[in-house]
Amino acid sequence: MGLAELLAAYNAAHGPDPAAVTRSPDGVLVLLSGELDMRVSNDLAPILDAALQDCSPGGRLLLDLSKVTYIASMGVGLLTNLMGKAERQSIRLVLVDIPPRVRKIMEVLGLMAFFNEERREGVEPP
Amino acid sequence: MTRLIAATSELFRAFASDESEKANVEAVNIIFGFMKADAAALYYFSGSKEYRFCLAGTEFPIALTEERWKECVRRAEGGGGTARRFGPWTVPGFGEEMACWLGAELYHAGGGVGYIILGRKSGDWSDEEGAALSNIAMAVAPIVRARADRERAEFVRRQVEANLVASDRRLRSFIEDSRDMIYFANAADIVTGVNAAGLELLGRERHEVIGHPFADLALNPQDREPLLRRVRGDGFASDYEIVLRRADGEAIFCLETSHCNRGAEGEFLEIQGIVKDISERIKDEREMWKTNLELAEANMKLQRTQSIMVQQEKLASIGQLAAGVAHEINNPLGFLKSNHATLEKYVRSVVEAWRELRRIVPEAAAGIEGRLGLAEIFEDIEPLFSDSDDGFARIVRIVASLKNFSRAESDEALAPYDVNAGIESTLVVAWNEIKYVAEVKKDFGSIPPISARGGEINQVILNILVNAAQAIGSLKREGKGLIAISTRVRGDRAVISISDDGPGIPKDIQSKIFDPFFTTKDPGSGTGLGLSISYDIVVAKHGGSLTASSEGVAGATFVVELPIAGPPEGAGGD
Repeated sequence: MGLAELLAAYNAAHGPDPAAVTRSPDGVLVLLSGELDMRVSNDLAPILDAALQDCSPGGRLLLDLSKVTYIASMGVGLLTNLMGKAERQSIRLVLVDIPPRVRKIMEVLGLMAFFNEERREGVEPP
Repeated sequence: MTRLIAATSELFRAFASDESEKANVEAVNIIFGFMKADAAALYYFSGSKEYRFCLAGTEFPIALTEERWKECVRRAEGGGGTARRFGPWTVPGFGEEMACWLGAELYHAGGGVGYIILGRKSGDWSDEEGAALSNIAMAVAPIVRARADRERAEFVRRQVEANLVASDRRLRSFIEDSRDMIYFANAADIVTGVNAAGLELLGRERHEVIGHPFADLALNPQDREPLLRRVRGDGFASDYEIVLRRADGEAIFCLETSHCNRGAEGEFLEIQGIVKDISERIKDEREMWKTNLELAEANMKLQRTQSIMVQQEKLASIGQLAAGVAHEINNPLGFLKSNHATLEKYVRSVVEAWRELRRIVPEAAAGIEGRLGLAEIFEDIEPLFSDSDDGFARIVRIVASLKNFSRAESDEALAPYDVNAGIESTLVVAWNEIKYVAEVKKDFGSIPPISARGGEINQVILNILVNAAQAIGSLKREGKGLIAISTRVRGDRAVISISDDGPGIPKDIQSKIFDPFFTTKDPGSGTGLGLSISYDIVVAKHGGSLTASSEGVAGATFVVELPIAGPPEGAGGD
């Protein structure tokens, strides 16, 4: 299943909190929203893997977390696994606009230092 | 008859004065006396669901087993309230054999039974005595039965109460002794109860928890919202992960399963939840994630280092190749230049000889001169030699530059390095890239020799110059662009500034241009390693700095700063 089909299936199941993928010269941008709990994380994993395959070595995969309202350990596991895969493929994974509540969990787990982070101007956390 | 009334009255008094079962013993003693019996007994099924036996002459009722009870009352059964005679018989387990017995059923309905039996050692019971016992039985039966029923009701109540107490105790013990936190919160999510495990988990006193919003106990109070939404909507939430905060600030990873308790009208009464500490599991997972990330990072660094080494090796090889070519050119160039100088001397001698010959034999010489066009040839000789000299000088300079540039062996030691000469020689090497797209404006200050690995610094300058030329070339404009190079001393540092009037560096990628593999060139045109390696050479190996800036549309400026005294102690690279 291609990225478009995976996204369509995901958004059909998680309508109110959809995911979106856009491509730009800056890299592949994946917008995540809602609660990254066990079910959502399981469903998101193939989408993020497919988005990673869309990036070329030396390119960037940006995860926009500005609309994420909750993260469980499975969600943190999803991000760390993706980070590992990205580094092995020489792709720079960047977390964009990490909400404070998500950052707090990552910091408590001592994992924040492993991630690259960017903040856009004027984006308010949810 | 009068005696019977008196006995009955005495029986009523006995029952009225004592509410306990002892009244039954007193009653059987009264009947024993009134009927002039040698033995008397009252059997009944007590309110506490026990088979009882009250024997005349004793003080307390005696409990019987079901088997013994059946053995005892078998002879008195039947006949309703009418007394029956039987015997000889012995009360099983008690007393001696009596010849004649008189028995009457007190009642036999509603799960309760009772009997009175009277025994005589000798002689029989008369019909009048039988009638009297029937009358007595009729009189006391409602009382004995009512007392048994009342006692049974009381017994049931006590049993229900005991069951309730036991059930409450069991529930309390389940909640209090649970190893998991169990809590109750009202509809507004204010904690109304919590068990000991919960207090221990949170490291808080009961008053610090009860009466406070549950959200206050969470590391992220907002993380309580999804759970409340599920509990209010679906009636429950299973295995919801929440991070709680101990009083000492420590974060505890928990798994919560909760449901809502609703009233008869469906109104939300309270939340009842069980919270399990899964910190140990999360700790293990975290270690696994961390190890994976560290491995991936190490793997990535290894890959980058390998790529950088390969690229550096390539550059070094190019440098060595250039040095080899320069060396090879140098020898023939030496004798070419020497031969050229000799040839020039010889030609000048020949020209001088020809001019002398023309003075001696003018006519013959003029003929030859005119036929061979010697006048033009002699005229061209000077500029030809002059141009050739220039050409030789340029070749010598290029070869010298190549030799100067190509000192990029990886084990090159620190040595005095002339920054301006380094730039000059690098310009020669890069000239082919630059000459069609840009003019070069040099503004060199007086720089003392710095301690550096010259070959590496030349690589950095070459990289910046080639990038500048390519950036200018990408604009496809009419006429040439400009590369401005200046050198200065600032404090204890030599500062090289190289500016171009190309398209500049977009602001959003300025922070990335020194990252390995980052490139804006078309696939295959750039490795994305040039500036990364340059950064490594200047910053890591020489303790200097390399910065890029791009203001407005005025192109890009790269500034290389190098410590004149050489890399500080501890700078990498060797």
